[in-house]
Amino acid sequence: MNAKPDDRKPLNYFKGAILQSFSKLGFLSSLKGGVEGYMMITGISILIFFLAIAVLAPYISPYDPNAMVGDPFLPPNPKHIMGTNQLGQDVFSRFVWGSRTSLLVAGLSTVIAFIIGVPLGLISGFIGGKLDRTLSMIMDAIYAFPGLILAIAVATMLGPGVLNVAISLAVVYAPTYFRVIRNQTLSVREQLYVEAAKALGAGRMTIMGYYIFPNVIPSVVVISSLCIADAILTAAGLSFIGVGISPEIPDWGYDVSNGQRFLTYRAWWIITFPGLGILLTVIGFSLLGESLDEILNPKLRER
Amino acid sequence: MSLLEVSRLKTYFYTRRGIVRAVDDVSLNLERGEALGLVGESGCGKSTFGLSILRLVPPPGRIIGGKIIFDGENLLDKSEKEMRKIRGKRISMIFQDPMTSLNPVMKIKDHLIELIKTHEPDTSVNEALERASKLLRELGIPPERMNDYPHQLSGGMRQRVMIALALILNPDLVIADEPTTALDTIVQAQILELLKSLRDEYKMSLILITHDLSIVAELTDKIAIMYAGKIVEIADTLSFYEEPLHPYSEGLLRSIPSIELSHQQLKSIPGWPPDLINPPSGCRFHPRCPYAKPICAKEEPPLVKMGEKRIVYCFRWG
Repeated sequence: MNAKPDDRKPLNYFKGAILQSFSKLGFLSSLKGGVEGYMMITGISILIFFLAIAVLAPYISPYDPNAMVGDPFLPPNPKHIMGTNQLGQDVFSRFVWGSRTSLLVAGLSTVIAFIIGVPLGLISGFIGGKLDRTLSMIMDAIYAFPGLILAIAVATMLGPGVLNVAISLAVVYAPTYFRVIRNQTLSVREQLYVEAAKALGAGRMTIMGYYIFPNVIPSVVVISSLCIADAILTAAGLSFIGVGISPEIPDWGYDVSNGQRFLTYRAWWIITFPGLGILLTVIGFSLLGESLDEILNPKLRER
Repeated sequence: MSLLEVSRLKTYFYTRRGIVRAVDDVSLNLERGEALGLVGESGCGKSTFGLSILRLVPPPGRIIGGKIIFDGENLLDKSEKEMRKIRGKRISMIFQDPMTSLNPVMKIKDHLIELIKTHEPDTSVNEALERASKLLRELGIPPERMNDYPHQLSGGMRQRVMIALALILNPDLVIADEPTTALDTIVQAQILELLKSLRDEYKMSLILITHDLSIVAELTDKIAIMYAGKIVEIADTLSFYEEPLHPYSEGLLRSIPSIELSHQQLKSIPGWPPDLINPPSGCRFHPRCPYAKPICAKEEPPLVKMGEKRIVYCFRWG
């Protein structure tokens, strides 16, 4: 609470929002006492683990993930701890490099969805009227599509590539951000402190930037960690179907799709490890998201 | 010339149920340095009147007629941009609920700096901080509390911060909308004492909107009683308490509990406040008025001047 004087950046207000929720709810005591504390710690540990793998991939992976480094279909052994696949590539190396792709795609799609959804939701909720109605209708129309099908459609249109997959995922998740931010904005804009700011002569941009945005953003933290988990699954789904990332980039989803053909040869290791990777990252983000949800949004608890 | 001249102001709310005439044909004058108490029961339009002056009536409300002459200029002719320069700088407002009228994610000092920077962009941050801490000390808040977030302050302190926000740019007019309603009695007394001393020091005009007649007596020179969207009586504070002219004012004064009359039952005004969508015809108070005559239900009561400063809208005196 004793930050340097004169730092009037929105980031600090965000910090203020978090601090306030923490002190309101007795953050520390809930960490010690409740389940959400353990959920958060587990989630963060899993994520840090995968993040470390992704960042340190060049140092961890024993082989080039795309090179043929051994006989095909070797079961896990001391030389290849996760075995080799049908092309003789090292599954462990592909697992390590694949974590990069998964996290990158998921992170990128979340950032893009955030950049599209949050400002639109803010403007839509704050200005209201016809603009709000139009935007809400468009976003609801997108939202009504099943996520994976929409992502397949967009990804097919854009072609393969990390950025393209991220964009097609962002299209799916932007409406979620939009709706959450819009609805929150609608309620925050009726708060007395917004009216007080108006009565003291604050302009529209000031009110949106300093009064509404920092007060609606905590819910986005929750949404984004849940959306990332979903995005990893959808991205894997896209790669699985074959409209995702091109095969030379190691990717968990692609490896799972590729390896399922060889399950009949009892080569379980080809799909198990990338599948486990997807599962654990998703669990990590979900745990983080749910625990943040519990801690930051007590009102959502009764859901 | 008066600082504020409101004439025939009409603010209506266009709801689905019908038109709510929250402020209906209200005229008021306020001199420089004068304090006016605007008194009435809940829902009589007194807060709407305050918001109308700042042109902040929330939709579906609209100001549909009248004039608000502030310092020689009609505020209703101003653009939104010009109004923004007046709000906070020349006319400021203190709200009823200090618990929710500060942005929970901004530190106290950020509120103050933000306000100063909005209206005086040339001020340096340090200068603004200095002014803020000086004023806060005067209001009884240690300047180091400026680094706190609103939730770390008590209700009384937050209201002091709100007062600081309203005063720091030295406005000509402060509108205080029930500034003490949400506070407990002791803090209420402190805040009133503070407002009183500040009023003397800064020579600002004050409109104190309240339903509590006992607060008004302390703080104001002049009282306007509002009933169902209309002003029924304007009087200087002293003579009002000595002799209320309008039957409604009389009823209000009689319904204040007093120590001396503790053994008596409180006298309340019979009936209910009228529905502002379908107000009673003629004088809006006539269904509850003990002195009602047949004419009261038919015609609007005339403006009657009693002496120099007193105005009452009632057939009894006209």
